[in-house]
Amino acid sequence: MTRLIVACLLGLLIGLFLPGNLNINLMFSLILPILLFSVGVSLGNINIMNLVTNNRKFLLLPIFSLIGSIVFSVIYALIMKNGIKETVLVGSAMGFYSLPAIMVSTQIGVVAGTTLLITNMIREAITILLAPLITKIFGKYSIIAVGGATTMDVSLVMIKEVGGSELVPLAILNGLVLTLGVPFITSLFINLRF
Amino acid sequence: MITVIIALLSGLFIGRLVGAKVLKVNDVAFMFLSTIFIFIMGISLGLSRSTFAGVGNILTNSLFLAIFASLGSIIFSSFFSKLLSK
Repeated sequence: MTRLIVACLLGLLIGLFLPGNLNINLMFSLILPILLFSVGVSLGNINIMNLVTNNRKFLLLPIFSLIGSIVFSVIYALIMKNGIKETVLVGSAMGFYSLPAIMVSTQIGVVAGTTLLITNMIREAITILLAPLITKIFGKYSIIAVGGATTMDVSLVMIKEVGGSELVPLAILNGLVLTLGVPFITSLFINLRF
Repeated sequence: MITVIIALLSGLFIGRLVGAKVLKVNDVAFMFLSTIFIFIMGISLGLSRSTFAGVGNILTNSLFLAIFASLGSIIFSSFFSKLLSK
C-alpha cells in the first residue's frame, strides 16, 4: 500500500511541473490488459473447483457483501449528491484498488480512479486496524465482508488472528470470488448507462 | 469488457497450464506494473491543475465512502449469518 501511495504522490508532484496539455492516456490502455492477464495467472494457480465444492454455501457471503457495498454507495451518492455511477464503481471495488482504479481512470476519469484507489486503500486499512472491534460487534463473518478482495492476501493474517483458522478457507474463497469478479463488475458498471 | 474477459481468462488458462513456476515472476511483474500505473495516474492528476486543487475533496469523499461501503457490507453479511444459522 505504501508503495502505491508513494508512486501516486511522486507522479502527482512530477505532473504539476509538466505541461498541462500532455496526453498520457495511451500508457493506461497499454498496461491494463497486461495487468488483467497477470491477475488471471495468479488465480490460475489456485485449485478453484476444489475450494468452491468444499465451501459451496459460503459463496453467498461475497455476493451479500458486494450487494451491501453497492446499496450503501448508492445511499451515499444520494446523500452527498455525487454521481451514482462513479460512486457505485468505487463502492463495488471491494478493497481491490489497483486494477479497478486503473480501469476507471482509463474509461471514466482520473478523479474517479483516484477516489476508487484511496477509498479502497482506506477500506483495507479499516479491515486490518479495526478487525478485532468489527468482529466483536458484528460477528466473525463481518470482517471477511469488510475485507472484500483483500481477504485472500493482505488481511488474511488478521482474519486468522481474530476469527481463528476455521475462517481461513472462507476468507480465501471470498477473496478469490471477488478478485475474479470485481474486474467484470467494474467493466459492467463502466458500460452501463445510469 | 471484451478485453477484460479475454485478458483474465487467458491469464487463468496460462496460470493453470504453467502452475506455480511463474507465480513469483508474475507477482513481481504485477507489483512493478501496478506501481508504474499508479505513478502515471498521479502524473495525470497533477497535469489537470483544477483536479489537483480538489485533492482535499477527494480524500474526504474517499474516507466517508469507505466507511459507508464497509458498513453496507457488514450489514448485508449479517443477513448471510442469519441465513446460515437457519
